[in-house]
Amino acid sequence: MRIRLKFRKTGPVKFVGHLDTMRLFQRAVKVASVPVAYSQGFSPHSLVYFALPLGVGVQSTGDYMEIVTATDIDPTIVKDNLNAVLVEGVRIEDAFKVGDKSDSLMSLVQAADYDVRIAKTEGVTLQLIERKLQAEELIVMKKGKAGIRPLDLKPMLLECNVSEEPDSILISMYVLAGSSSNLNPDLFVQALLEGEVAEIEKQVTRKEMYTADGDTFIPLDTFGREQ
Amino acid sequence: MTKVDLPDSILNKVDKPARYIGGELNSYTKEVTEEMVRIAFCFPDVYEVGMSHLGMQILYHFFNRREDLWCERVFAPWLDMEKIMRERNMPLYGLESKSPLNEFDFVMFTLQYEMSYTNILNMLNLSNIEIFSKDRSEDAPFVIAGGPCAYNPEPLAAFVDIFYIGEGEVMYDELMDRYKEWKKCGKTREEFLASILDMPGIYVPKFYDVAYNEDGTIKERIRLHESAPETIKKVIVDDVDNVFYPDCQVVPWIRAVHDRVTLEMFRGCIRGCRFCQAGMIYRPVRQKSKEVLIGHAKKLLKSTGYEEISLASLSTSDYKDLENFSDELLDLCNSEYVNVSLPSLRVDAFSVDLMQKVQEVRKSSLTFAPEAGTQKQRDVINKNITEEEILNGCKLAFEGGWNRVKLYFMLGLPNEEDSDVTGIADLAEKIVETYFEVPKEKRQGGLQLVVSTSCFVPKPFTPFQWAPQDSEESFKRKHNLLKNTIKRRQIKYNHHDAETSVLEAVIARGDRRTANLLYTAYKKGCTFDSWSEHFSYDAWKEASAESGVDFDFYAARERSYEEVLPWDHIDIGVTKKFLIRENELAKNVTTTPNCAQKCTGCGAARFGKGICHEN
Repeated sequence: MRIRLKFRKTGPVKFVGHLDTMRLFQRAVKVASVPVAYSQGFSPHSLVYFALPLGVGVQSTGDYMEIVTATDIDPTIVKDNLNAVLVEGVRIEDAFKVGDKSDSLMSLVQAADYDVRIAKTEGVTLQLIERKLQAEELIVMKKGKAGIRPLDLKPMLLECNVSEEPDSILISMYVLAGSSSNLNPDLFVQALLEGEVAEIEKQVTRKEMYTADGDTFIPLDTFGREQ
Repeated sequence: MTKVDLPDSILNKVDKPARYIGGELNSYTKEVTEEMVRIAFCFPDVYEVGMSHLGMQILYHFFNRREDLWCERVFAPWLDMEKIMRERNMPLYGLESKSPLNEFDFVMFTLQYEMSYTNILNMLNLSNIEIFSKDRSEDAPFVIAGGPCAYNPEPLAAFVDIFYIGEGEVMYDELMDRYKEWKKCGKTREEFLASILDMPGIYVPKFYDVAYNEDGTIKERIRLHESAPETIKKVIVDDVDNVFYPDCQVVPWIRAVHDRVTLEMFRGCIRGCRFCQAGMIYRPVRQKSKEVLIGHAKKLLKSTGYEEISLASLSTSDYKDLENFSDELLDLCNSEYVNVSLPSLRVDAFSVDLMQKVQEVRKSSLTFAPEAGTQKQRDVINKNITEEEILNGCKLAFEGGWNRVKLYFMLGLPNEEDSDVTGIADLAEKIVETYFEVPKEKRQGGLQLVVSTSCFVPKPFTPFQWAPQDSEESFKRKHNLLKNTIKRRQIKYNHHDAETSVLEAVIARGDRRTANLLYTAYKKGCTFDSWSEHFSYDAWKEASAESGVDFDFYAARERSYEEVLPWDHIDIGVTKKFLIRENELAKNVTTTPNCAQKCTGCGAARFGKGICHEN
C-alpha cells in the first residue's frame, strides 16, 4: 500500500540536509513500527520516497514523502505514530492512501511556491527587484557541465509578488519545480540582486508543491487521494 | 538559565550546521529546577567523531535517567564555527539547552586519545572558563576528566579539578549526591574537593605535589592534604549483566564515523598483548550474558531505527558463547533488515566462519591485525598467533570469496630488528601466494592486500611502559626499508607518520611538567592535532623548546624499574610486579598464556569478579 504524507520541517532542523533527512525518516518509520516494505536484492532498503530535495537551511511548510507498506494500515495511524516519535520541528500534517499505479511522487512535482525574506540593506530595494521582474528576461550565469553559461530564468517563473516590511523584503514566488524544470529560489534571488546575495541574510520557506491537472497546477495534497 | 543566541545567519555560513543545533532523536530536554545538577559532557573533537563514542552514549543516558541531573553534549566546534564564535564573543554551549558552559555545575571531558588534549584547552577557553585549575573562581564549574587516558592523569593535572579513574557507572551517582549536599551548605570549592577524597576512583591533583631529582626524574609525590590517598584505586563494575545500559542511543543528525547501534559484549580482554594498554587497564574480563545482549539489541534497534548493529569489545571472537549468540543475533537482525558489523577480529578459522555468516552476500574487506611480521616479534609482544594460523585464516577467507584484505602492523616494537621489518613483507608475500594457491574457480579475482603500519607508542600500565620509543629517523628508515622490500603489485603499503606518534609518546608518558608543553602548543594555535591537515609539528617543536619539555626525555628514554613513574599512584589492579615479569619474558621472547587458559597472577583477581573467578 502506498501512503503519501505531507509534512513541515521548520526551526533548527532545517539545517539537516536532504540525505540526512531521508535517513531520519527511514529510522523514524522503524521506530514508529510502521510496517514499511523493503526493496529486493543484495542490500534491501526501506521504501521511503521524497518529492523534492530541500536545501540545507530552507524550511518547509508543505513537503511530501511516500511510504510503501508491506501490509495495509490506516494512514491516520501512520501519521500519529510518526508524530509521536519525530524530532521537534518535523511534523506530519496529512496522510492519505494513493493508488498502487499512481505516478512516482518525484515525477508528479511540477511547481512549488516559496517565500524568501531578505534583510533590507543598502542597494537592496523594492524598486530594484520590481524593475528586474518587469524586464523581458532575467539572466543569470549558471555553472553547468559545459562551463558557465547564461540562463534566462523568466520562463520558469510562474508568478512573483514582492512586498515591503519594516526590516525586510518579502518575495513570494511561484515557480516550476521538479525533475524536468526546476527554479532554485537561491538562484532566482541571486539574479534579482545581481549577485549581492551571498552577503545578504535570507530566510527561505517552501510552502507548497503542485502537480499539473489539465491546464492548471493543483496542490499535491488534493491529487490522487484514495479512500 | 541563559541561552546562547544561534541565528540562522551563523548556521548558514558554516559547514555541516547540523553539528551545532541539538534536538536529535533520543536526546533529552528538561525543565531546569533549583536543585538540578547540570553536566556538560564534552568530547574534545568534532561532532561526527564524538557522536560515535559508546562511552558518551552510556553516560549520557546514565546521568539523564535521574530527574535531578541534566547531562548535555558538547563537541569541539570546527574551525569555521570557532572563528565566528570568537568574532561574536559567543561562548561554547550545551547542545540541549544552549546554555553557556560556564553556567554548568560540571564540565566533563572524556580522554580518548592524547592528540585531543589541546582541544580541551580550547574548549575551556571558548567557554570563558579559566584553563588552569588554580585560576578558577568559586562559581566556576568543576572540570572532571575520565576515560582511558585518565589512567595517566598527570599531563592534564594543571587543567582538571577532578579525575575519575575507572568505569563511570560505579561512583558518579554518589559524586552527584555529594555535590548536591555541598551546594546546599554553601561551602567553598576547596572544601568540596577535599570532601570527595575518600571516594574510590577519585583523584584530585591539587592535593598532591611532585618533587624531582636533578636528572629530571620524579623524586617523590607529596600529599598536601591529610585525606588524600597514597594510591587511587580504579573502580569497576561488578556485575556487567545488571549494570545500567541505555535502551536507546542519541541518533546523530549527520553521518557519524560509527553510525549504528553499538552492543557492548564485554569489558576487558583475555589476551594480554604486551603493547596494549586497554588490555591491562580494563582487566578483569567481564562478559555480558547472551540473554542480556539480545535484550539490549532488541531495545536499541527498536528505539533508534538503525539499520546496522556493531559488536563492541576488545576481541569479539573471544566471547564465550559466540556461536549461539551470533546465531540468535543474526536471526533477529535478518528479520529486521539489519546488518551486523564485526570489529576486532583475530585471524583464525572461527572469525572467518563468523564473517561468513554475517556477510552472506556482500563481502567487504577483511581486516586483521597480526601486529608484527615475524614469529619472534609476535612472541615478544605476546600476540599469541602463529604464521600458520594467519595463513590458514586468509586461505579460508579467500575461499569464502573475499579478495580484499587489510593487515595492521606496528613498527618500532621493543627488540625489533631489520629482519622483523622485512618479515612484514615476507608475510604479505606468503598471503599473496596463499591466494594464488586457492583454485581459480574458488576465489574472487583481483586480490588487493593493504599493509598498514603504525609507529609503536609505549603506554603507561603496559609491560613496555619502561621502553624507549624508536626515533623519528629510525621510523622513517624502517618505512623505506619495508616499502622497498614489498615487490608485488597486489600489495599496497600505507604508513602512519612518525611525528604524531613521537608526540603521542611524549604526552602518554608525560608528567605534570608536560602541561607546559600542551599549554604552549595551544597558545601557538595547535588544536585538532589528530587531524593530519591541522597538525603542525613545527609548532610543537617550538613549544618543546620554549616549555623545556624535551621530547627525547619522555619518548626515547628507557626507564629503570626503580624509577618513580608519573602514574605510579594510580592502581589499576594489575601489579607492577606482573608488568616487570611480562617485560622480562618479552626480552626472552617467551609468551604468556591468556586468561582463559591459565591465571598468570596479574593482580586483577583482587576485584573478585570476572574471568579470574570463573575457572
